[in-house]
Amino acid sequence: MQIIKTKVSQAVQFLKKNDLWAKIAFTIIFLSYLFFVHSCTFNPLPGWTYPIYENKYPGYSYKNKGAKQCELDGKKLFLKLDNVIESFGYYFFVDSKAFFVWHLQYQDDDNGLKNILTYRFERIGDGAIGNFDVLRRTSIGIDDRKDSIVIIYDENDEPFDGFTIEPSPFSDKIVLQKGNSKDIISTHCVWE
Amino acid sequence: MVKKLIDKLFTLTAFISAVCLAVHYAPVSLIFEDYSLDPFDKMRYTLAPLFSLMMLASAILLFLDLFSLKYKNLPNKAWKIFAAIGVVPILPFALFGLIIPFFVFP
Repeated sequence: MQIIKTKVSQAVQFLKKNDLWAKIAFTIIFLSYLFFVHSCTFNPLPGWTYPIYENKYPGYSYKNKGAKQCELDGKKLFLKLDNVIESFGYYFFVDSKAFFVWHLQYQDDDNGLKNILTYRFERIGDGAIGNFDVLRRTSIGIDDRKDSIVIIYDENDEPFDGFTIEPSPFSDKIVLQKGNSKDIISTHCVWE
Repeated sequence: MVKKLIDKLFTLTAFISAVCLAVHYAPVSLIFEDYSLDPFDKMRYTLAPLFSLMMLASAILLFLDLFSLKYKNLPNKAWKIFAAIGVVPILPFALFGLIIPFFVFP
């Protein structure tokens, strides 16, 4: 203990006299703090594109391995999660508020994926130890009726600021409904 | 000549560190929004600007030092006093950050 005290006071005396080393020490303290913060709390999450499958059975759709992919007007449907990557600079200086941004997409004739709907959830937990990220999403069920496309989402998972309907060939026909899990798994296409 | 450049370089890095910490300590809500405080937050919101100002003073002095200017007759060592006070909250984290690599890499 005494040795630590003497060493510390010696170091402080040295830094008081030696300006250059004081600056170096200060910079190193800042950088190691930055490194610490970075390693604990910065948690980028890569996005993913999920195909949506048809619901052949009156049960849960994710058990339908080998099921046919859902199509609207012959165009395959996907559900995409954007990369949840925060810029570290923004995270460090300003409190970050990252979102899980989901897009309902269709595959167009040129094989590109285009958006039908966009919705997002706030990210709770900052990835620090003991404060794990939970992937926030809602189950959706899609029913293609004659003059409308009914999309049922889980009433317990309300998105942050509602659904944004993007311009697409289907945008006029979309009807959004809240439902419970029973309503969702009784539709034609389900993603959970 | 080289010694002078090295000194300028580290003055610059110390200046950047001081500025970053000054911004980091200043809670953004204090600057941009009306805030309503409950008693536990009061402590946080009165201390943080203090550290922020310490860092800011240190940054300003370092900036002057960078261009070899002096403010009235403050000695060159004045920035160290402000920096030493301001760096207190992050010292434990910084020390931990320094020893993390020694746990991760062997």
